[in-house]
Parts: sequence; structure tokens; C-alpha cells
Amino acid sequence: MASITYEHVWKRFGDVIAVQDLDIFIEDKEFLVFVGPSGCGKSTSLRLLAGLEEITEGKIYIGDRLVNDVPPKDRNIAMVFQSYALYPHMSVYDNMAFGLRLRKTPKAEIDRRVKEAAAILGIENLLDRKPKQLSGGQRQRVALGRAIVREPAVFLMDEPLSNLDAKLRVQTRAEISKLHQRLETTFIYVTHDQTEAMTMGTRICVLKDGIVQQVDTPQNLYERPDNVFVAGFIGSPAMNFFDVTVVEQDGDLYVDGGTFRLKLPPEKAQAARPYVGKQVVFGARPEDIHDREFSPPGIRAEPLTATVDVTELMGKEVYVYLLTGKKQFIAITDPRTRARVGREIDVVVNMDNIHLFDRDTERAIR
Amino acid sequence: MRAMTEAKRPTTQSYDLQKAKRWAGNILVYLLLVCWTILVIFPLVWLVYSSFKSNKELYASVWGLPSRLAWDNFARAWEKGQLGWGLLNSLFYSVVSVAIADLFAAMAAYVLSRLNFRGGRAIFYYFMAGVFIPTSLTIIPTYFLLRDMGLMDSRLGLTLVYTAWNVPFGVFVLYGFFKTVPSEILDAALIDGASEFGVFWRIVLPLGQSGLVAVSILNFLWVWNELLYALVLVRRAALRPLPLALAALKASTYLSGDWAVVFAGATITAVPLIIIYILLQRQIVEGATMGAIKG
Repeated sequence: MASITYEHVWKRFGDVIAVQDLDIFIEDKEFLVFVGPSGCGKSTSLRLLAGLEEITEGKIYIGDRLVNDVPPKDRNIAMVFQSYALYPHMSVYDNMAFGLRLRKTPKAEIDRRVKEAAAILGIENLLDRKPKQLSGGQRQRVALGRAIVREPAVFLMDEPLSNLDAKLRVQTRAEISKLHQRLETTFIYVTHDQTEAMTMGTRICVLKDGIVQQVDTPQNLYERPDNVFVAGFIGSPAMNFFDVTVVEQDGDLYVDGGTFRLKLPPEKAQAARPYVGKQVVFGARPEDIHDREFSPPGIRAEPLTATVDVTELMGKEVYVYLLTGKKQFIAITDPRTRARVGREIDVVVNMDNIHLFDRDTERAIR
Repeated sequence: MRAMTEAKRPTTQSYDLQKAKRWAGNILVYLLLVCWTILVIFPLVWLVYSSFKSNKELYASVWGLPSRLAWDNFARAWEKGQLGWGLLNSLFYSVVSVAIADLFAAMAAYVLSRLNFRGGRAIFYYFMAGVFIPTSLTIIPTYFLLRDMGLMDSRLGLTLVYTAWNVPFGVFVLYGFFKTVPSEILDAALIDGASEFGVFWRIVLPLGQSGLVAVSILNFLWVWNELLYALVLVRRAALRPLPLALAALKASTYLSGDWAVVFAGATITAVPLIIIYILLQRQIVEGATMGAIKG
């Protein structure tokens, strides 16, 4: 068990900066998720911690120990890879025992740990098989097992669910979360899938182009994104953004998007006051835009009329793609909605949950 | 309208013609292949049955079958040509040079395929040059080199030369082979606690086993058949590998005209090779095509 510290860490590959000034403290037993689009530096950040890449600048600590020059095998970490990376010529048992044998663990102890991990993961009956005789899900379990038996201070996971089908992914996601609770060890998890990040992480680090955008709890990332990128990346479907102007009318502030004008609630208005007469980015999540007929009670709703472009029935809700002027946006509405393609519909925006961003810096206006 | 529908429909006649053409093509190809096979196999068959003929029979009819099996040809060849020594020497040169070359080639191929370092590419091309340079081109410099090192007419000298020739081909094939091992597996082993050498020894080598086997077989065959270096670098009869012993045997029969003994000696030399070819056909073909595909 150990905390992790990235202290102003940089990684360059030739002229390309993969990680830029990464500076995070990860608490012992935390489940931290690095999330971001491909090429954002999340895997590199993990590989730097694993010792598989050399740090260009900065320091990494595992616990109190500076590990910049410590080889991977001496960092007391275990890693699960996207491709599982099982040793094809070894049985499941040998795959799991490999690390322990290298560390000269007594045979009986190896046997106990391998069997215990196999029991946790439900793969006791696969121990004699070779990796090629296993399904994707089973291989992933073996890869997890190989990490568990080592009883490392830190678990590193590099997109471990990306190769699984959707159903198995959801199932394994829950199992990894359970494993984290059971093992009470620090987990660092890399994914490009924001749903995975939101459901598993105790904290999430959002990266873009090698730069940390925000490190926060899933709830805070969702409710209080620091910038346009985070707001757009977290949440599915993604947040709608509109270019609007802040205008003042009778002492109240409004956002004016040309085809609509919405009144800002007092707290938001206060923050937006310096922007009166200026353009800002206005963000509203699809789940905060409702069909007026079925809008939930008690919200501060502002009306908007739009034309229905496309509807997608998801079962318990409908994704309605709407047009206001030429701008398309999405609303998630009650399935009883009367939205029909090509017709106009009255929707309301829950103004308590809207976001305003500076147009130049893209930072949240608070 | 009528013309269009006719053009669209393939007539039965044209279909038959196509089929016939394909058949004719196939027959021609097979005929050529059969001719080629006979051309390749016949000398071997001829060699084997001729080695059972007496000199008298050989001179009477070159292509004819033996009337009785003259086993004593083999005994005479074995003794006169000192083929027993030749066999042992060939085994020594082949096994030792292949084993050492395998080790070095595998290590070099691993480093070149896994690590990106300045000059790595150049070193790889340097090895490649070793594959493409004809052996006869280096015979004179090698002679002087060995003479200056005091390794002329020695078992060590010839073994070193064979080893040096075996390494580049090994690097060439194994490089391609190791490149196909996913780097994540190697990373996983590093994290699991293996050193860089441990990754090579416990993961990469076992995974590249079939490549290593193919390289070993092809190099073994090359050394087994090699005559030129042995001829130039070795003088003592006790150090001669089999091809050289056979050449000496042939030279010794020059005046006596004892061709039966030469045939018997050649058969003794060829038999181990033929057995290897038959047993390891699959690996030999794999090895021969591997460099072409993966390198």
C-alpha cells in the first residue's frame, strides 16, 4: 500500500511532448483514473510510473521513495494491460506464478496465493489451460489474477476492458471496483471511456494533449467542470455548447443566442456580470433540457422553442436532436414526448445546472 | 436490346473453353514439376544404387542396377577415406558453431528488435551484409586473419569461422521473429520481476523457439556441406570434416579409378543429410521462407 506523487513530471519523445508538468498526489488506497482522448498522455503517465518509460524531467515517488531510477521489477507494482499480455507459452497457473517464482517465493506460498486469486476471480478450473484456449473475458481475469497474486503496493491498469464486449465490460467494471474495495490498495486506471472513469474512480484526472485539465471527484467533474474540454468530455451524450452574448435587461442578466434568450439565475448572473455585452460559451447538459410538457417540478426552467431534427428512442428515455437556428443540440426527454421530426417543440432548460465559460480562455465562469 | 442480353449471358461454349485452357495450363505446370523432381531426385537415387555396384559393373554400365550388393565398398570407403573422423569432425563443427551462433544471434536480434538506440539500425545492416556477401569472397582475408592469430589448421579456427558465418543469418531470421512478440508481453515480464536478460531468456527465447530451430537446422546444413573454408584452413587429416574427407578420398582414387569407393563414400556423407531433411522438412521450409516474410 502506498501513495503516489508525480512532481512536475515531463515526458518528451523527440520534439513531441507527451506529458507536460504532471503534478498530482494520489493518496494511499485511492482509485485514480487517468482519462482523456487517445494521444492525451494518459498511458504514458502510467508507463512512467511503471518504469517502462524514462522520465524526461520531474520526480515520481511511490510512498516516500523516489523511483525515477528504480527498475520496474523493484517498484512493487503490478500492471494489467489492454491486450492482457499473458505469456502464451505458459499455463494460466504459470502465468500467475511467474512473478512470484522470480521473487523466489516458497512453492507452498505461491500455490496458496495463486489458488486464492483464482478463487476470487472464479478461474480455478482454468489453471491448466494455455492463454489461447481462453475467451477474452477469461484472459482478462487471468491478467487480473497475475496482478493480484503479487500483492503489490499499487495496481496499474492500462485500458484493461477495451478489448471486451459491451456486456462483459460492464460486468468486469463492477468486479474491478469490488476488487479495489476488497484489496484496499492504490489503483491507477487508464481509460478513454468517461463512463468507466465516472463509475470506477474515487478521483479522475482528465488529460488533454499531455496537460492535466482537472483532477477531481466524478461528481465534481460532472457538476463543476473547470473548462470547456472537461465539460464536453465528461457526460454522455456530451454537453451542448452555444455561443451566446450576456445581456442585461431590467437589472436581470440573460444569455442571448440569437434564436433564444434565457434568464440567468442570481448566482450565475453574479459571476457573469463582468461579461455583460461580451460573448461567452453557454453549456447545458442534454439531461437538463426537458420537453416542457414533462419537465420535472421545482426546477428553474427557462423556455426555448426548437425544431426536431432526429429522435432516438433509448427505452426509458428519448434522445431528441433539436435545431435552434442552425445550431444542433440534444435533449434527453421523457419517452412520452410528442416530439416529431420536422415539427417545433417547446423545451425548457434547467438554469440551475447550466455552465458559462470564458470564450477566450475556455475556463468556467464562477 | 437483343444484342445486350446476349452479351450479358456467358455462353456455355466460352465457359468450356476457359475450363479446358485452365486444365491445359495445370497439366503443363505439373509436367514441368515432375521433370524437375526427376532431375533433382535421380542423381541421389543413382548415387545410392551405384554405391552398391562393383567397379567392373560401373565401367560396364554407368546407369545399370547392381547385380549383387557390394557392401565392402562402404567398408573400404570408411577406412580409406577416414570417414569416421570426418563424421565426428563434421558433427563437432556443425553442433558447436551452430550452438554458439544461436546464442549470439538470438541476443543480438533481441537487442536490435527491442531497443531503440543510436546506431542500432547500422548494426542491423552490418549483420545483413554478412548474409549477402558470398563466402568465397572472404576466403583470402580469412586465411591471413587466421594465420596471424595462429589458428590455422586448428579445430578452434575453423569453428570460429563457421560461427561467424552463422550469426548474421540467425540475426536476420530471429530479428523478424522477435519483432512479432508484442511489446506488452515483455513489459509485463519486466514488471513481474524479470531483468532484461530474464525477459530474453524466459519469454522471448521460448516464444521464438520455432525460429531458433529453423535457424539452427539451416545453419547446421550449411556447415555440414561446407568445403571451401575447410579446404583452405585445415590440412591435418584428423581435422577434416566430411566433405573434405570425401574430396580427399576422391583424389586418392584418381589413379586407381576406384569409383565404387567414391560412390560409397558420397552415400555415407549424404545419408545423415537426407535423414535430417526427411525428419525436419517442415522446419526447413519454414526457416527458408521466414526471413522473406518477416524480415
